[in-house]
Amino acid sequence: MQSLAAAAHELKTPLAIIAHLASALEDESLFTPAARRENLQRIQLSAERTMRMVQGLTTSYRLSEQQLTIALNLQPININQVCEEVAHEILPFARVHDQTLDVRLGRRSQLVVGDGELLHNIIFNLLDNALRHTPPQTTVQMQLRRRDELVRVCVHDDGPGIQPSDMVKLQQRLGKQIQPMVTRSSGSGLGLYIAQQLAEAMGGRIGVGKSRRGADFHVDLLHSRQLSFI
Amino acid sequence: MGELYAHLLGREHTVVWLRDGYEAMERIDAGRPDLIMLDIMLPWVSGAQLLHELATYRDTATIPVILFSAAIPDTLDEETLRAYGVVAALDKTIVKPSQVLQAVKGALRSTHAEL
Repeated sequence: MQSLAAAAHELKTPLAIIAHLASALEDESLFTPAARRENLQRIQLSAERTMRMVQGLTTSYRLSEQQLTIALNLQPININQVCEEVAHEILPFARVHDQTLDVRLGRRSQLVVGDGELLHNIIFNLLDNALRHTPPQTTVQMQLRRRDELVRVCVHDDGPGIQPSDMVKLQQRLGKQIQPMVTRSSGSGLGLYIAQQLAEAMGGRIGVGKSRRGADFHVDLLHSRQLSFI
Repeated sequence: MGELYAHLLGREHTVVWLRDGYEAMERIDAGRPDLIMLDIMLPWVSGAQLLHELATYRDTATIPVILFSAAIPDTLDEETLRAYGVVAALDKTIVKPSQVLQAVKGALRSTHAEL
């Protein structure tokens, strides 16, 4: 029930934005042509964001019902490529809100064991989470690091940090419960919950790190030993 | 959503759009607004906490507040809302922009009539 309530709340916001923008745009006198184009783009981005969340919810549900485990398409995936694709997809969101995306993947491609589509969804959720809680004119940074048998994708933002009390709960409950955060209460934490469910299905894990400023979320994925000629 | 209404209301009013409850409290301390449009789900200081804070002090208790949120609890009764200075509670998921603008106009008209 908690999941359903959290999902309903998080879906309501982008849908309400679409409804309000579309209604306001009916009156042509309210906006300049440039402002109309920008608001039409906002409608499109909100719709895409909502669709992605519904897809994540569906996958998460199927995982919890163990319907998807067998059907996962696990193979070596170039995680650098996935990160670049997601960054490209999410860049319009950042631009519309005057935010900067700083992507640092390193020169060497890293292979991880995963399902391409699920990986895409996880990285998208991490970046989306960061962008939604970051004020305008700040930067969200995405980095890639190899750590022994794991590859870590780390997303740092300069938004409100995480209170110590929320940090403890997050570290204990991520993936087990939807965990809204006091300093980020404009969302219910559903995106992170979905990302953790998807990561665990592939032997990976979402984590939260301490940061002097803002917040650090990461996903650890299993490094693939398969040789690559990329 | 805030950007949209800052634009629509900005044609006739001075609008200050703030992203979290803490910033809102600081701004209200710096200069008394004629009207506050308030979401409930805010980072740092929630809309409910902010309402309580406003009601505590005489100089802010009379600022009219329009609740504008996708998370308006069903259980809130009109008497409680009025006690906290709320003149309207608008559900973001249902209300249309024209109704929002009408509510703002109505709230400001009532405030100026009282002065």
